[in-house]
Amino acid sequence: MRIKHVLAAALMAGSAATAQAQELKVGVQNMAPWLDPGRDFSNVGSQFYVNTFEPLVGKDHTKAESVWQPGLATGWTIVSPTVMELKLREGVRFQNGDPVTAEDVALSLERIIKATFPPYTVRQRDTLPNLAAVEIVDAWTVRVIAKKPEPLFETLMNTQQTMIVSKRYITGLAGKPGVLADADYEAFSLKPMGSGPYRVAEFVPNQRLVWERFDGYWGAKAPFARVTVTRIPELSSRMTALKNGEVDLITNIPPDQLSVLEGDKALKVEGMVTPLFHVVIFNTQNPKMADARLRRALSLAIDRKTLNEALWQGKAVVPASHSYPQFGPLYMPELNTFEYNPAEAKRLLKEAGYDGFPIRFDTAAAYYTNGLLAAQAIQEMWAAVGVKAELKVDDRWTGGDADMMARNWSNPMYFPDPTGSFGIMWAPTGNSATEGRFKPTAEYGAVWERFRYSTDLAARKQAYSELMTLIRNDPPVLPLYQPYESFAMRASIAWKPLPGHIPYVLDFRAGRIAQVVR
Amino acid sequence: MSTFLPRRLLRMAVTLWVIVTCVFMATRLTGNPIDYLMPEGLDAEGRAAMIAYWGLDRDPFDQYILFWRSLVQGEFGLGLMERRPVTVIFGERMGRSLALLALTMTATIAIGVPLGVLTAVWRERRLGSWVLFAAFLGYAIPNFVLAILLILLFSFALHWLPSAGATTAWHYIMPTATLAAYFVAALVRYTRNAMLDVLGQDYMRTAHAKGLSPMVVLVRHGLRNALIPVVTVLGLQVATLVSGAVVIETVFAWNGVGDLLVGATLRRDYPVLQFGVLVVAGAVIVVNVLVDVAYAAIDPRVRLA
Repeated sequence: MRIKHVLAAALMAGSAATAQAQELKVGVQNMAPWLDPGRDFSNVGSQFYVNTFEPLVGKDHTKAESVWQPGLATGWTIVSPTVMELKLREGVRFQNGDPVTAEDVALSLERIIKATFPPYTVRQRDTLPNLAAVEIVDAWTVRVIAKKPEPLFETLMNTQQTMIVSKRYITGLAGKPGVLADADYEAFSLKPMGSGPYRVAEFVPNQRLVWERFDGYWGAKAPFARVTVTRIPELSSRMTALKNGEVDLITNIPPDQLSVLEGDKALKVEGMVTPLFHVVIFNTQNPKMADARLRRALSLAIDRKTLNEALWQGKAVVPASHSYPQFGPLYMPELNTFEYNPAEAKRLLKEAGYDGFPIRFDTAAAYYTNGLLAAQAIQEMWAAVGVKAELKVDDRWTGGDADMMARNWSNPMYFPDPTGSFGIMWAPTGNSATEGRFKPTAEYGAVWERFRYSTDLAARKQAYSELMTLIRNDPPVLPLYQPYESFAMRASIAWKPLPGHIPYVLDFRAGRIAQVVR
Repeated sequence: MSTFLPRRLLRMAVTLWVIVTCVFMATRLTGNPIDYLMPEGLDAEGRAAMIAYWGLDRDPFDQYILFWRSLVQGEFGLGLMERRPVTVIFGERMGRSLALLALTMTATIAIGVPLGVLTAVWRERRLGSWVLFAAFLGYAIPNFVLAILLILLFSFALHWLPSAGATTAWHYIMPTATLAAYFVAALVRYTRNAMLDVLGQDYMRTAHAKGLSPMVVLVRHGLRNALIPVVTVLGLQVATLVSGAVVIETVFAWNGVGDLLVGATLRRDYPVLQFGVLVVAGAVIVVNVLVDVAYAAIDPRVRLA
């Protein structure tokens, strides 16, 4: 009897060791309060969706520029400038065993396109304003109908917001069976389920997320049987947990901490310049900020190169325009929209008759890496040209306040087109206009329409350069830099952030991560 | 004794009412959760829709009435951020936070009281001075500094103890030690002072003269009398312990109640905050009632009248 016990214990210890090799443990700075790819726009939730959900159109994430691939749709044709027809992949199952059908595709898109639930309404306006409806042609064919000619069909069908969810599953979650209500979507965001290679086995909001391999996945199976993601908010605690072997991979390491980890042979660091701008925004609608010359002066007075050297050890990238390499043919660094010129700033201030009134600059204490430090440095840079700035440190989002004058913010790339970054924030229907701090002129609106809906690439490029000229002359925003984001992991883990993803994505699918067994 | 409990309960209820009302009003005066929870891209219409969805479009006074009515019915509402019942949100975290507090209290009493007595008895000896010096250090060092020192030594350098989370018994060692250091130190000093007062009393000399063993004199006659001020201090320290735990939970990635309350305060997540304050304030008040009860047990002269 006793020997049996010992044997059993030894066996269990043995299997525990192999099980451990099958598990990946991740320490993240923040865990999401809910998970629904359709309504989420945050940098926290976006880390996780790619492992559990999939869009219709796939993408080669190892490349910065967009190379489309079959996803949940095996093929598609642009039937007319306003109609895209997609053939769905047959035999794909959701993680609960239900097949992925045209009905699910229709629901996934229309919950946003025809939103009544406020969190989806916001996404309708900023991400899918041009889509009108989804038509089910047959069980494996759908048509996405646009209002105006849509040059970005593939791009839009590849976003996080258009990832496919299950109609039957969501409908059955809360309230009346068979009736879709807001409560169903709320319940879904706590029990997310999709068709990707990892199913959510446990989700404790703001604390923990556990994935398990979905054995019924149609593509290459997940490399780990289990992935545990735990929130470890303190940087030093995260680094200690990695060094101590409690986790295998950690996120959000600022550049000044890299040397601490780089000296350890058991660990390694992978980093990437993120397709996201830390920006300074100006409230063009605040009467005190109305003069474009004042805002131009404030923009010209900021020495972004010095900020990069001092705060990011030169690892961040200071952009010449609101443009990312991910835009492919639409990447236009040559536009040179933003520059540093303190002499010109002084001249403009004099011309505008700036009388020394204080400029309030709002910043959260710790929301953006180096955010507060950058704000303090900017305060000094403004002082150097004779502008008095008052820092207001508050975790509240003040972007919609009428008395906001200037503040920091970020402009992430939500999808790889200027529409998915600049447009989300600065289109006539973008966030800044809806929140009231930016009021596009009729001219701006006309140029935007030309940029957004021209199907000719050259026409789009021409229009974007005109938009950037308008932004330079009457600036509501100054992109400071693209931050450099670092991840640290055990030396035995082969993983790195990929340039084809939106910021912060933790892609643990097959071919994206491997554990070298020594 | 018969009127003690009802009277204490009434006072408890009034205290709770004042605290919760203050929190209710203060949070609503200082910000709107929509600015923290749905920060970007919401136009006036969407904003109004979300506020209505959360039920925050009602007049604050109506909300207040509704809040108490729900409370009486045992309804504590849904958290605004997580959209789950606050009781569930707290339930997930309460266990480990309570365990941390209970362990800390136990360690504090088990170590602090005997050491306090010993330093009083050993007041002429060098060992006593060393214990006092150590206690002084524990009292003076901020808990987050001690936490980081412990992590550096036991996790970073020696790899003996885990530094983040609360999944195994090993995870409890450093947070408990960090929290207890301050309270042990405080308790050693209080107990020592109280004992020194008692040791000089006539009844102690009498007890010795009766021929009782030194141990019996020390514990039954000395310590029992000395404990009254010590218990009072202990009761008052519970609130300090709760606030200390907030910091410690962050450093050790505990994801406990303290961490939840700080987040809820920053985001103005009213339902979570109100329920949390109710629970924490209630716990502190209950402990203080227990302290009163403990008086009676220690000192027969105290009648709970």
